[in-house]
Amino acid sequence: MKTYKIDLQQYFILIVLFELGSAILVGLGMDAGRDAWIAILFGMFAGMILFTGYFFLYKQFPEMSLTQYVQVLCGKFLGKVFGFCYMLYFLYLASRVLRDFGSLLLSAVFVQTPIIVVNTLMIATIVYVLKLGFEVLVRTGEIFFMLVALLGITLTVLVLSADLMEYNYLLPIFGEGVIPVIKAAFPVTPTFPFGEMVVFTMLLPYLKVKNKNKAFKIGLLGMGVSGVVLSTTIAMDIAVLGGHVATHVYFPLLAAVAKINLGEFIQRLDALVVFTLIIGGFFKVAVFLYVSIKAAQDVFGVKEETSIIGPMGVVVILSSIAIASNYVEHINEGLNVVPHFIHIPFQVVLPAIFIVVFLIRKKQLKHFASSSSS
Amino acid sequence: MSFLRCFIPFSLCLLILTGCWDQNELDELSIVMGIGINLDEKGNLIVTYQIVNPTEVAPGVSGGGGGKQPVFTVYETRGKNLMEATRKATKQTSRRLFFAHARMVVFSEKLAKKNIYEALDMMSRDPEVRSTIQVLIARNTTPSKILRTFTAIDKVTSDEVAAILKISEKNWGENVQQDINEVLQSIINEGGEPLINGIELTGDKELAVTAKNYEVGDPARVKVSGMGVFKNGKLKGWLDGPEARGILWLRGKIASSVVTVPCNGNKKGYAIEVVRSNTELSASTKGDVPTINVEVFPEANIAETNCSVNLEKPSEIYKVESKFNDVIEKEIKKTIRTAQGYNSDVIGFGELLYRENPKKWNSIYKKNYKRIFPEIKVKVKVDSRIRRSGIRTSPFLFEQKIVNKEEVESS
Amino acid sequence: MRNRRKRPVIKTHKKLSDMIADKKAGESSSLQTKSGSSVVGESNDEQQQVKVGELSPSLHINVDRIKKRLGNPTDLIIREFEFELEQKVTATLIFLEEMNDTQLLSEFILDPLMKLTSDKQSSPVPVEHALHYIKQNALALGRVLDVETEEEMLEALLAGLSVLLVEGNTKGLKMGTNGGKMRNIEEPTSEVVIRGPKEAFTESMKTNISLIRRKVRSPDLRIEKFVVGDITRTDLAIVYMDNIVNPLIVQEIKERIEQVKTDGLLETGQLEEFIQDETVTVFPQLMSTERPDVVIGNILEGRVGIIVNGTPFSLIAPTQFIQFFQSSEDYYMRYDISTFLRLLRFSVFIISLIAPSIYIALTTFHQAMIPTTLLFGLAAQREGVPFPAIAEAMVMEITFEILREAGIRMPRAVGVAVSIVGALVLGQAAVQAGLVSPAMVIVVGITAVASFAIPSFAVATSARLLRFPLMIISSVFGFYGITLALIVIVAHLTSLRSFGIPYLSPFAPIQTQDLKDSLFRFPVSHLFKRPENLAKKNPTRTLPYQVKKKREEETTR
Repeated sequence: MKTYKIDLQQYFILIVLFELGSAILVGLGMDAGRDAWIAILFGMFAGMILFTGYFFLYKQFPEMSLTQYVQVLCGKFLGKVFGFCYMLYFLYLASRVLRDFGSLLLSAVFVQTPIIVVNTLMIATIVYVLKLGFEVLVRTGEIFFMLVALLGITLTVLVLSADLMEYNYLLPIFGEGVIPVIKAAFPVTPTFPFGEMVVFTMLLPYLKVKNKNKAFKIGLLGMGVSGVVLSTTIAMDIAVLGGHVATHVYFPLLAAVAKINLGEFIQRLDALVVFTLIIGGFFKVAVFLYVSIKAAQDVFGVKEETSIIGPMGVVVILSSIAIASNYVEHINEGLNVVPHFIHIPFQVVLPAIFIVVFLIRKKQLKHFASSSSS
Repeated sequence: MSFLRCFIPFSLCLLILTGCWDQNELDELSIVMGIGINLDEKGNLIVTYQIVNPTEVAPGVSGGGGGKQPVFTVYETRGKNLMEATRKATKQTSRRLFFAHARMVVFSEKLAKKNIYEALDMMSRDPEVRSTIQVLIARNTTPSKILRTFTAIDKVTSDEVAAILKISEKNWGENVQQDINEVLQSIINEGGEPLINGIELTGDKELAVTAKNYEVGDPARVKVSGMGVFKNGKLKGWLDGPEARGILWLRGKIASSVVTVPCNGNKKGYAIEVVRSNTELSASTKGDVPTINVEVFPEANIAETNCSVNLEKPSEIYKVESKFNDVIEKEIKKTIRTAQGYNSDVIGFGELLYRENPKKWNSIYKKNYKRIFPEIKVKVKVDSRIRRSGIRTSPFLFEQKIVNKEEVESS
Repeated sequence: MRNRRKRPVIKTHKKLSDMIADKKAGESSSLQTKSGSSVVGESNDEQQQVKVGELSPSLHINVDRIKKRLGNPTDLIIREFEFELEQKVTATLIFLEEMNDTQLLSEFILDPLMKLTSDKQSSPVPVEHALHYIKQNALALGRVLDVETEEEMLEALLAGLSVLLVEGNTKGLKMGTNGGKMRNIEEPTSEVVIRGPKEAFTESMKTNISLIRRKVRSPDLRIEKFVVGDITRTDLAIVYMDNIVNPLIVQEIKERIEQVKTDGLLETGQLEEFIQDETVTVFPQLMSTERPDVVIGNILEGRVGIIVNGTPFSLIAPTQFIQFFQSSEDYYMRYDISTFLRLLRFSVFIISLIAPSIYIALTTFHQAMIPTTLLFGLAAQREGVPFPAIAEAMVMEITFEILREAGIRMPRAVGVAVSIVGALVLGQAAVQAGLVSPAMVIVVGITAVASFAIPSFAVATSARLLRFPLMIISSVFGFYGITLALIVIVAHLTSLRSFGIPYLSPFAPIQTQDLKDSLFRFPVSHLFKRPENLAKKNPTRTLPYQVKKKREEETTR
C-alpha cells in the first residue's frame, strides 16, 4: 500500500482541527480568570517553541517518525523502549480526550446514558474511518473544517448581533499582575492543546513538501490561527458570561451560545455547539489513536496498520473508562498530575534529550541520515 | 470486509440493546414553565411547578376532548432540597418534569431574607435548567400564588412575566432582566451584590387563582415591582421607582424611559422621552476613600409639555436640558444614597474600582469594602441632549397665556 | 482495500465463432431433415471441403448456411438476381427486412446492379473479380466492406447491414443500408431545462454520435467503439477529447469496458455496475445523462462519455459527487442565480437526507433546543398519538415511498387516483384519526419535495436509502448519533474514487481553482482552468477576457 502524503493545505487544516478539537469548548487557562485569553496566547507561544524543537528533529530525519528516529538515536533497544512509552502516551491521550468528551457530552445532553456506550460509538466511528485510511481521515477533516469554520463564523456573528458582550468583563487586563496569568498559562496551557503538537512528530514524515521551511511556517501559522481563535473564543465567552461564570461552567462556549436569542426565533442554538463538540472530539481522538497505532507499528514491527486499528480502539475504550473513577478525579488528574508528570516529560524533556543526543552523535549519524533521506 | 462483518452485528446490538436512556417522547413530558421556591416553617423547601398544558396553548390545535382545560396546572411539593422535591413531584404527575423551557424562578421573600445562595446554586447546577431563566422574588405574596395566577394576555404566567420584564426594561427602565448567570456573576464581581427583580400580585387576589380571572375585564394581575437589594446573600430591602431607575442610569442600561421634568414651578411640566443613553464611570483611587465620577449622556425628545414655553427658541431647549439633567442627577444620587444606606454595592462600584486600580483594590479596598462603600464620594454629571420635540413646534398652551398664568398663580 | 471491484467472469460463454462451429457440428443432421431437399444434401457434401466458417464459392451453400444459422426467420429476405459482366452472374442480396432501408437497397444496390451490362465495360470482367468490380463501379453507397467469413456475415446481418454474395466468389460485401424505424430526436424527458438545447439522445448510437459530432468540430474528438454482451452484441462508444483527456483515465476506462463479460447490455445502468470503482455504496459513481450538451460539456473538461446503443442515457466518467448537483442549465443562466440554485439543491439534498432524523432527535432527545412556542405546538400535536416518534416517522416515510412507487409505475390516468388517495385519504385522515401528528406529515412532505428538487435522480435515491438508517440512529442517540453517522457518510464519500479521481474533489482534497465551479459558479469568463485532476495536459480553458468595453458616450457618438 502506497503511503499517503498530505499536502500543506491538509497539514494546516489538520493542525487547526486538532488544536481546536476539544480545547475550544472547555475553558482553557481559566485560572487566570478574566485574563484567560492572554494565558492562552502565552501558552501558544510556548507551544510554538516546542514545535520548533519537534520540527528540528523532523528536519534531521525527514523520512522518519519519532518512534523510528528514536531507534536510530538511542539504539535499537532503548529506542524501542522510548517508542513504547510514546505509544502508551498517545494511547493515554486518546483515552483522556475520549473520557473528557464522553463525560462532557453526558453531563450536557445524555444524562442517563452509560459513558461506555457513548465512547464505544465514537471509537466505532473512528475505527471505521481509520480503516479507510489516514488519507480519508485527513480529507474528511477538510470537509468538516469548512463546515466548522462556517459554523464558527455564524455563531460569532450571532453573538455579536445579539448584543450580549459586556466588554467591561474583560477589564482590567493583568488585574492581578502578570504572574497569575503566567501561572495559569504554565504548564497547563502550553501542554494542552499546543504541546500536544508532539503527535505531529509522527505525522510530519507524511508531508508532501520540498521546502521544509515553508512547512515549518505553515505549522506555526496553524498553531497561531488556532491560538488566536481559542483566545478570542474564550474572550467572547468571558465577555458574554462574565469572568466567574465562564470559568465555572463545563462548556463556556455552550453557555455563551445558549444566551443567543434574536427575535425569539434564532435561539437555543446549542445543537450547533454540540455538533462542533462531536466533530472536534472525533478528530482529536482519531489523530491520537492513529499516531499510537503508528508508534505500535514501529515498536512491534507490525506490517499492516489496519490489523491493529480495531484492537487499539478497544484498548482506548476500556482505558478511557478505567483511568478515573469519577469526573472530578479525572479533571483533577488532568489539571494537576498529567501536565507535570506526563505532558512535560513527553512533550518537553524527552524531545529535548533527543535533540541533545542528536547534537552529540551528529557525526556518527550523518552517514545514516543522508542515506535515509535519499 | 471482515471488519464490516463484525461491525454491523455489533452496531445493531448497540442500537437495539441500548434502549433509550435519555429518550422521552414529547407526550411523556411535563413542560415546566415556572418554578417557585419557598420555605416552610421547618426550613424545608416548598417547590411549586407551573406546568403548561400544550393543547390549550398551541395555536390551531383543538384540545382532544374539546372541553375547557386550564392552560396550566401547578404542582407543589416539599423536600429538603430541590432534587428531592422534584422527584417527589412524580407522586403527583404522570409525566417527567422537564425544566429546559422554564422561563422564571420565583423565590419567596422569606427564602430571600434567609439566604439566596443555596437556592441559586441548586438552580445553576441542573443541566436541564437553562441559564437564561429569569430570577424573581415574590413581593408581599408567595411564589405559589404568583404561579397560580391566571394571566389574560400571555396565557402562561411565566411567559407573561418574562415578557413583562423585557418590555418594561426597554420602555420604562425600573428593572433589569436578570437571568441566573447575571445574578451569579454580580455576586462574584468584586464587592458586588445581586439585585433581583420583585414581582407582586395586584387586584382581586381571590379571583387570581381561578379561571374566572380570564373573564373579568379588570383581572388580578402580576406586576413587576422594584428590585431587591441583597447583602451577603440576604434580602435587605427594595429599590422602587426612580431609585430603581437610578441603577439603570448608573449601569448605562437605559434603553428608553420617560422622565418628568418641572417647568416654571409646574412639577408636571414636561414629559421627556429618553431614546438612548450612555454612561461613563471612572474612579479616582487616590485617597483611602475613592471618588467615583459618573457621567451620563442621555439623548431625549420632548414628548409632552404642560407649560407654555416657546420651544422654537434654542435657549428654551437648553433650559429644559439643564432641568432634565438635574432630575436625573437627583435620581442617581438618591439611588446611590440608598445603596450606601443598605451598604450593598448593587451598582458595581467594586468592580469599577478593581478595573481602575487592581493593585490598590486587592491591597486596601477589598478588605475594608464594607466600611468604605458607604463613604465613597460620587460625583454625578449629566449632560443631556434634547433632539426633537415631537411633531409640534411650540405647545398651543404657549398661545393661550392665560391658562399658564392661572396655573402659575395657583401653584 | 481499494480494489474491491470484482467482475463476474462467465466461464460458460464462448466466443461467437466457437458457438457457430459447435452448432454446425451438432445440428447438421437435424437441419438436413428439416429442409429435406436434395440441394441440401449436395451442399452438405461440399461443406466438408470448405473450411468451417469460411465462405464457399457456391451461393447456395452460403445462403443455406445463413438460413440454417438464423433458423430461416420471416424477416430474413434473400433476394436472388442476376447481372451481366463477362457472363451472367447470379447474386444474392441478404438482409433482415425491418432493419434495413428498403428504398436504399432498391435504388442503390439492386437498380444499378441489374442494369449492369457487359457493353459498358472496357474489358470483360471475370466472375472471380465480380465483387471487386461492382464495389468499384456499381454500388452507389458509402459504406461497403468485404466480408470473408460466415461469422462476419452473420454479424453484419444482425447489425442491420445488408450482405451481397456473388456466385463464384469466396467473399461477400456488407453494405451500410441500415434503416428501419427509430425514435426521432425529442426533447429530454428526465433533464428538462428552460434555457438550453432541447434535444436529447435517442436509442440509436449513430444518432447520438451525430448529435455530438455536430457540436464539436474538432479533429481531436475521439470516438472509439466496443462491442459488449456475448448475446446482444451491443455497440458501445467512448467519446473524449484527445488533446484534453488524461490518457491514463481513458486507458482505465477501456480496460474496464473490455473486461465486461456478460450476456447482454441493455442500458448504461448495467454497464455502470460493472465499471464503477466501489460496489458496496449507495452513491452513484457515474453520472448518466440524456443530453448531448452535458456530454460535450464534460468531455471539454477532460471527462469521457460512454454511449451505449439502445438507450438514450449515456454515462460520464469519471464523476464527482458535486456533479449531481449541477445542471447543464447552470452554465446557460447567469452565474448568480446558478450559484444560488446549486446551494439550494445541495441544501435540499441535506434536508432530504436528515430532516426526519433531525425531527426525531429534536422531539425525543433535545426538546430543550426547540423554541418554546414551537415546542408547545409540537407537544400538542403529539398528544394522543399512539406511536413513538420513530415509528410514526417510519410509517409515514414508508407510506410515502409506497405512494411514490405506485405513482411512477401507474398509468397516468390511475396515477391521479393514487395521488388523491395518498394525499387526502392517507395524509388527512391519518392526522384526523390521531394516528400521526400533523408536524410529522409536514416533515415527511418537506423531505419528499426536497428529494424531488435534486436534479439527479441517482443521488436522490442515495439520500432516500440513507434516510432510514439515519432515522433509526437518531431515535437511539439523538444528535450524537446523527453527527457520527454524518462523519461516517462523509468519510465513506471521501474514500470513494471514480476512475482514480477522488469522489469529493474539489472539496476533499480542496482544489482552490476547481471550487470556482462547484457549489458556486463563477462567471464563465472567469473559469480559466479545467478541473485540476482531469485535464493536466491542457489545463487552460478560457483566457482572460480583456476587451475594453465601450462606455455609453463612446458608443452613441
